[in-house]
Amino acid sequence: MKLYKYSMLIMAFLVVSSCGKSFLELEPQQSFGLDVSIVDFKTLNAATLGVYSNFQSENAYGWDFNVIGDLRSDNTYISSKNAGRFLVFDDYALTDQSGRPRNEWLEMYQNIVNASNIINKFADVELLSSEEEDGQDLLGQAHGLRALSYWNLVRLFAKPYSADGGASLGVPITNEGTTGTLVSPSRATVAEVYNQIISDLTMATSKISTTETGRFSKAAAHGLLAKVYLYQEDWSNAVTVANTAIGEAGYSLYGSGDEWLSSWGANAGSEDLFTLVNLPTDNLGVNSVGGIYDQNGYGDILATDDLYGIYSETDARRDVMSRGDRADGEVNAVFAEGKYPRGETGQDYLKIIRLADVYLVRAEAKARMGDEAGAIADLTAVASRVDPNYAETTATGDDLIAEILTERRKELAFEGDRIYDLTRTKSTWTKFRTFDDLTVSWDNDLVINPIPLDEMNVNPNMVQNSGY
Amino acid sequence: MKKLFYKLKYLLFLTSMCFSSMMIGQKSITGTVTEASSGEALIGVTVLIKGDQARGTITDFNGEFEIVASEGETLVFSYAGMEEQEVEVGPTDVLNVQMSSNILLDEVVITGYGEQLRSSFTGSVSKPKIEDIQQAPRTNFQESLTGNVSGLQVNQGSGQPGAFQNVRIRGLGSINAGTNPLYVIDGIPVINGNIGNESTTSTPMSGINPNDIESINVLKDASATSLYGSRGANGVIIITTKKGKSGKPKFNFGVQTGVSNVSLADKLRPLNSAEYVELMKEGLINRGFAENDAEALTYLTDRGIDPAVDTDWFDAITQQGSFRNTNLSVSGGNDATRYFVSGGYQQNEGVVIGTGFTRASARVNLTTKFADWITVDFNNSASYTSQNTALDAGAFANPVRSIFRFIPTEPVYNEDGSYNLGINSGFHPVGEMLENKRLSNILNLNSSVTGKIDLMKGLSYRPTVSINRIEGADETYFIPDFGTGNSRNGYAEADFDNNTNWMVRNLITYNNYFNDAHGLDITLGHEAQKFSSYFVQTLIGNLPFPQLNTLSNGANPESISGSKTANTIESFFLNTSYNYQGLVYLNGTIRRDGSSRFGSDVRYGTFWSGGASVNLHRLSFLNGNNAISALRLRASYGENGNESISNFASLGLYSTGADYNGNPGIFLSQLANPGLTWEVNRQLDVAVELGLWNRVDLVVDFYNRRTSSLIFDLPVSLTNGVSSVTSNIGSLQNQGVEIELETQNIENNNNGFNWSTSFNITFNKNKVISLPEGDFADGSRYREVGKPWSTWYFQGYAGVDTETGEAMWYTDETESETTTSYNAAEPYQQGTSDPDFYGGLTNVFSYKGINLSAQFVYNYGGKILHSWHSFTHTDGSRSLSTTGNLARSIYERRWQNPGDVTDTPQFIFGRNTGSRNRSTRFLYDGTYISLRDISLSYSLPKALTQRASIDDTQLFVRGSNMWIWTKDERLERDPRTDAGGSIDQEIPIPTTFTFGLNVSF
Repeated sequence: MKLYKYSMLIMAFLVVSSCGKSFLELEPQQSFGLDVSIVDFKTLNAATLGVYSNFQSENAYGWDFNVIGDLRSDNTYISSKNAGRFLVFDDYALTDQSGRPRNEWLEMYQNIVNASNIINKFADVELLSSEEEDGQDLLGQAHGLRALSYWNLVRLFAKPYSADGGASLGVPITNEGTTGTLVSPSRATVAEVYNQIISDLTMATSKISTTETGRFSKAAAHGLLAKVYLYQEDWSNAVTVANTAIGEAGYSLYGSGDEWLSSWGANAGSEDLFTLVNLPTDNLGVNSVGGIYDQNGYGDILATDDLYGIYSETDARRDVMSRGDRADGEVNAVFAEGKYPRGETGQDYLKIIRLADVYLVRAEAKARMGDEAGAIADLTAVASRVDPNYAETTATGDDLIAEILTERRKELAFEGDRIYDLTRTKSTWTKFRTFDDLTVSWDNDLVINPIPLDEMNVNPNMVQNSGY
Repeated sequence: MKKLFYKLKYLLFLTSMCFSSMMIGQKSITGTVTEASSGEALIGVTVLIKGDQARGTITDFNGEFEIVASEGETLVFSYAGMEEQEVEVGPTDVLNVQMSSNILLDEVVITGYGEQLRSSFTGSVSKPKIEDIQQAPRTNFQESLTGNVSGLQVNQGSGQPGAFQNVRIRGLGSINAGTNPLYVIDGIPVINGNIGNESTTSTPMSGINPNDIESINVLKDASATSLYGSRGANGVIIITTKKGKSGKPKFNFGVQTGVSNVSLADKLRPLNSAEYVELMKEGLINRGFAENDAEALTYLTDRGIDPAVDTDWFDAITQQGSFRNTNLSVSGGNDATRYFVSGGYQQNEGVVIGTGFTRASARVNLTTKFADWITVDFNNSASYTSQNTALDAGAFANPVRSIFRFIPTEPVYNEDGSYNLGINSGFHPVGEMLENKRLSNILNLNSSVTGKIDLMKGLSYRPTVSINRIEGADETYFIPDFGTGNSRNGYAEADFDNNTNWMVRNLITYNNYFNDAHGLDITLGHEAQKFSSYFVQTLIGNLPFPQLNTLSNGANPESISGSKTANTIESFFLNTSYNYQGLVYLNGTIRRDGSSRFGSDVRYGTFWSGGASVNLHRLSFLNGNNAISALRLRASYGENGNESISNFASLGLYSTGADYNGNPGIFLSQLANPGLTWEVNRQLDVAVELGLWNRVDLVVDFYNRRTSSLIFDLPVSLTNGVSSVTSNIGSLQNQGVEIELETQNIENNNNGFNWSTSFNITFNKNKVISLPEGDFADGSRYREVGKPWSTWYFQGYAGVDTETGEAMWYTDETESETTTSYNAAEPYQQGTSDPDFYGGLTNVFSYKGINLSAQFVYNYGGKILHSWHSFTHTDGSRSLSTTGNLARSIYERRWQNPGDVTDTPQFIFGRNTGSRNRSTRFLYDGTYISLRDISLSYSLPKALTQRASIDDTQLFVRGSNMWIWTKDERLERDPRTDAGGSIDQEIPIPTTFTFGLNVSF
């Protein structure tokens, strides 16, 4: 009898403990499977936002891009009291094992793959008719963001277009997205990459309708395209597209130096064609472009006296800099905190392309085409808005072009732009450093990044940049 | 588990000689012979009457015997491998005898789903002496396995109390799937990884009170591990906790207290101010920034260097730690119920300021017999650990980093007593450790019920249900004044990492013995287990009150996140053992596992093993041989798997979290690999076990362990938008020899002088067998067929040009040409981080209650990399950075004058010559010998203690890591690295000295 009772218990236990078929079928809780990742408007929008988010990261605009473009040039240098960040850029001492170029490369290709997935899957996304326009807008943004990724890659990892008309090696073009097949692409030429950028930006200009702050706007697509033509030395297209960009409704040059100054920080100004919005949740902390300039953060990167000296005393833009003694370091150094006033909180908006930049693109292109009056008008528009004492230039020819380039330097300092103006114009510059200055020429191999070792190791089709 | 039967042929003959008549005064004695520690019946024990070998018998299947003898005669019980017992026949007719083995070769070992004698086991198992582990002044029993088990390496890396211990059995058998063994506590597979978010190194294993452990069995070969199927590939460590024994309550009480200091402190000392300033002045002159000493000094003082300040950051960061442990247990019971109840408390202050660990633990193990045929075990334990932790590696708040990196001319405090925040971007190491809170708490609840129901003779049913809940709770707070909490005006983070592991198992066991010759033992089982975790992380900023630092006190809730994941495993298994007369043992296992971690096409895997052993010493030609007391041969081969990969590794995924402008974003996080399948581990083991004169035990295992379908995060072109894809890439082999030797050098039973030695050594050779996609470079490693997996790969350092003082590298692996440009040098292979051999040596001396034991641990070969060289060996390029102090070698060995032969270049202020880049300059020989454990104890004479009704009183002193010798004189750190062979900026391993008292009554 007892045996019977216990057998029943055992039977019950066995039944309870037997597993259903679904026991081994578990689904991830924080991820979508690839096949259901971009299927409707919600996921399409989320996937687009994912690319924006990746641009915010440390090795993209969050830190590297905005720092390197100045540090490699005559604008900034690293203090003798430093934490070792970016020293290899200050010294032109990168190796193929350096971490930052590797991550810059990876993050931009992440963007390209993610944007390509949006573009390639778009046809299969189920959109309600009420979502169609916004959907097209997102498709346009994806093209714009992909162009921006190639643009950063080709500037960081390849010789300037002007070196040889784009004949030298650029970066791989991979627009397949995630197909299930792994790729090991070879490098396209710089010209091919430029064509890809132009094609993507053209698509962007035709699709984008958003004017929301923080999004890649149509004006930004035109503005960037004008800049791409400028780098290509296609002056007339630069002027034409810049005209369109400047003509876009909703944007205007700042009316005063004060307005210019107050545009920095966690807000967008009327000149921002595209700015990345950083919220407190995006906090990169001290490991951000703000943190490296902030004397309460790293404060390692200082502006050169040379840069400080090119501004007139009444130029409001000089006020982003201040002189002071670095704790146990340089005396009467130039701190450059003003464009990132949130500093080590890492919450400053990151300006990707501004209207003043497009004005100066147009000014330079006009000057180079001989339309000096037009060039001077654009130059004056930019310069006079921040300096009440600005007197219109009387320069002509190369002097005028030089003044426009200097104006670019003044306007875009600490925004990661300077080095590319120097290299595309085949300049030689003085690299001011703590201890000894260097004279660097645009064709110095170490002014561009190495192809990362991690890429070289696994991609038999990859060719290293000379010098590495 | 009645596997314990054997019979000697010649005894059969003896027993057949019947005595037809009983002599006067003779009576029939009956009794049972059992094994002392397990209580299992011993079958086939020879029972003889002393002086009259003709009258004898052997025990039957139930361990019972019947013999005719007279009062006053002595019965001799003998059984190969066990100590002979003599018992005088008294007035009673019943004689129950317990026999025990004190030699290694026939102890009881715990194996897959049961226990058995080593002599009946076909697998390879090591069983370290538990006493050495229980009393070692360490938090985690895993740390104490070092040097005590052949074939097992523990890579400690960090001296953080309560740290995770990376255990590896028989070499590196996997790359991206787990390499840690499976841990099974009282039959329940448990998790063993970092818990929570804050601690960089924690484990629920630290919650186990070593004093609760009855035995640790390390299963190594396929025969031993394949019953664990997809989780057995890296070996299995079986922990059995103490059970009660029937009898009156027995109390054990122990206290231990002591201090700890940084070991190898001399190697870690940073430069002092005079040395630093001297170096800087020379660098300035070399650079041309100063003509002479005076000018150089002015240059320095102009820039805030104050040579009068001389901070020893080592002293500022380290402290004398402490170790205190208290333990109380009581056990006992009657025939129906036995109990073991314990409580323990440990408090441990680390050698780095602000670090520490406490553990409170409790356990109740009950065994109850409901009826003759049903017994139930209840095992319950709870522990709560609290770890005060520090960040590691390159983190600004890592205190250890500051020891090596902060310049000595910066004071710790300003003149007004406030923290000097002009260094390290305001991350003040002392403030970070003393003012902030980084607390990682783990509550570990473990409960299981196992029944044993005897259905009929030899047939039992054993169901088990268990639940293991591990709740990690991180409490952190960072003050607003500096560093970590500065940008948020103070913040607090609270994380909850809740892990649940439940298991249901059904076992049917059958054993029987046929025709007095054939033993059969079968276990059939089904098991289902689910591991799930729920992790919630919250952060609130703008919380400026150090005294009120819970989340509710902050004004700016910044983030909250929660994630869930789970994996399940369902298995069927069968274990069959056969033996012939205790001479030949055969074992076969098969297990079929299904795991949720793999794609549905490849979800199930079948694993198996076969093993055989022969007890040659039980054959007649060796029986009675005085020299050879035991001789066994065994061999096994089998296959098991490794499912320790991330839960959804085979899927292509878009993950959330890529949010932008307050809206959720998704981003490609993983590429799919639908064919991703089990890593398969096939192992051959051949062993000889030899006992000589009952004083020397030698076990030699040869093994060949081959892993195929190796799971690896295969690096792919970054243009794919990911850096790697989890793939099955090839195969790997570990071949090796393990030797365990135990000797009783001097044996004196009467409380006299005894000396015994345990020695073990392991040679393991790791080799890549195939890589179908071809050899490839993988960061600083090169993966090539025929070479060890852990082969280093970077530039070869060619020393310093004696004329110019410039660093030189070999242009390529021919090492025929040198260059002074790092970028012009090609990387090439630089040897492996695996040691050639390693092991331990323990000597125990005892005399009249005094016991001295010393364990040495050694490691020979293996190249280890100093991974922070680019900051500590900069040869001047960091100029005056406050985190720019230099390694002692730079000061002592720098090139100064033409003709100097050295490996350290000229010191040039502020110039990056590339010499700090990764090369063999920073690769060192990992050989060391350490005095890992030493103890001296004294047991008070029983005559004295028994008057106070105390059974045993022991006083002891113990030291851990008291001494270490390193072969490579260039090495400036502790050679005991993490598993990757890299020296990281981790908390140094402490040397601990304690004294204590154990009382039992």
